[in-house]
Amino acid sequence: MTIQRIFLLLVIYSVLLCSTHAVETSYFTPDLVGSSARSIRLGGIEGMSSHSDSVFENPAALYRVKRFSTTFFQTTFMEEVVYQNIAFAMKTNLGVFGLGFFNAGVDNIPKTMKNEYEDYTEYYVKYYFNYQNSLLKASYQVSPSEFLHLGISGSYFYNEFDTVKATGSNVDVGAVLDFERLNFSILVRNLMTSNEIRYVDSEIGSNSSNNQTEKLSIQNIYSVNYRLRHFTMYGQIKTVGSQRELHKALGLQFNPRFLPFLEISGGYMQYPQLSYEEGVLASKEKTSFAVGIGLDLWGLCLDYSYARSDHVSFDHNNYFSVGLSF
Amino acid sequence: MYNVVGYKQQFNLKIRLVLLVVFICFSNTVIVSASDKLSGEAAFTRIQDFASGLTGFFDVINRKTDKKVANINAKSNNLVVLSMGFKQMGSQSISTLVSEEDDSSVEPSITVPLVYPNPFRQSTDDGAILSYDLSKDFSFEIHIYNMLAERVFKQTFEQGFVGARKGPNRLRINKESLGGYLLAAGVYFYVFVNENGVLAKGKMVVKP
Repeated sequence: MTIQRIFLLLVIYSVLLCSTHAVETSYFTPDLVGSSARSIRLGGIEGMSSHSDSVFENPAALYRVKRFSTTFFQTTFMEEVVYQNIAFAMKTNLGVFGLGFFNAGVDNIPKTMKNEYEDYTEYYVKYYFNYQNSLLKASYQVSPSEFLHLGISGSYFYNEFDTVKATGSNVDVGAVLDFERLNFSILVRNLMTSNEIRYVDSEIGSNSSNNQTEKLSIQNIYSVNYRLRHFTMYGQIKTVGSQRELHKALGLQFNPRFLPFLEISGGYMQYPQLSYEEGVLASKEKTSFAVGIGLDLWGLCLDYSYARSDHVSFDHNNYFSVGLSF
Repeated sequence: MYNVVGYKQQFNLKIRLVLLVVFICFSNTVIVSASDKLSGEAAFTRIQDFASGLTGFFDVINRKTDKKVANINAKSNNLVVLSMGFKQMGSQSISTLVSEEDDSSVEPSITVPLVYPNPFRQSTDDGAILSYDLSKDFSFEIHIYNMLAERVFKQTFEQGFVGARKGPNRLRINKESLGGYLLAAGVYFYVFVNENGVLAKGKMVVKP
């Protein structure tokens, strides 16, 4: 119990006393959408997965992989942005090794040009290009004791569109404390704050982004779950960036004893979002709800999640993920 | 005889000229002769001048030169000033721009909106220009979403005011737009919406 108390005090001190609601601009990483439908239906809770998608969350959680695990996740936003990830993890005598690839893509973006005439300017589409934003992760997990599990991930970021390419790298470190009914997860994502995304642009002139950089937001993620009979309760506090903007999440999962392969869950998220509306720039607390269902059929895991969306014509998003573990 | 007739003609001409001057002085009307009739382009620029000094998120640009000539703001107070501009210049030349023709039978529509250049750097003075044509004056909203379908921008454009006038409209997105908020590099989706739903949409890419 002493370790748990110290852990809780550390979390309370570092999150609640040091966080703000400011929002800063930083590099867009594809894993912002969530690593799996399971994570999304729990409100974006990280570090509690039993599968290889832990590569994108807390690598320390890979200790739950029995021998081998693979997961695949896909969703489409606004019929335009396609998110996909695939991950593998394997347990060896040296520990658990994981590998994951995440990609966000948008096709058919118009490259525009203009013709200037005497009395007007004409704009037209010259060609169409694609946008790809990728993330490659390699993870390693080791368990020093029965209840303490440690993990580390290396991340490689790659972004390409039109004349622009961008690359960068960083490191995540995490720990999981497993006390059977009670689990704690702590993760520091993008630990190396000096590492940035660097852009190379073959375009010349003021519109070139050659040698420009973007920050990778450091994230501190503290998650907890507690199992009570048929229910598992989840909570998470995340701070993002040097401004330590605060993201909160709660999740509840129902896992009936008489149907052990079925999981029904709901999640709630709250986080600051900067937007410019009707002449006012403001950071607002955005709330998001998600519900979903999961099936574990002899190692084949199917997950579905539904969440509301801001978009005027696509008022919800659907998420699917599938995993195989044995 | 010819002298008397000529004198009467000259007198009538002078009377007419005096009456014309008096009429012009009291009516504050802009003279437009057949030879130098104010073109729609020039009128467009003149109306933009009435908006000078307004701060805003988008800049109106001269369609001919693409140079910034004034700032606009869709806030109601500032739009009142812009509205007065229309009224003070209420001559037939301006009416050609405001359009006296009956547009009620015309369906509100927007040609495919384009952002130039695309991709673009928002962090510069030039930024990019959002270009679109309206079939008539009508009110609508522009929404911009990021790649997570989160709305980062929403603005209402009122019928007949800057950005919501019949014909070509040009809005600038640069480092002063969005209240100085610089968008993270990535793809953004803009949607034109009115009470009938989505009128037009497009996508743009922001570079760092």
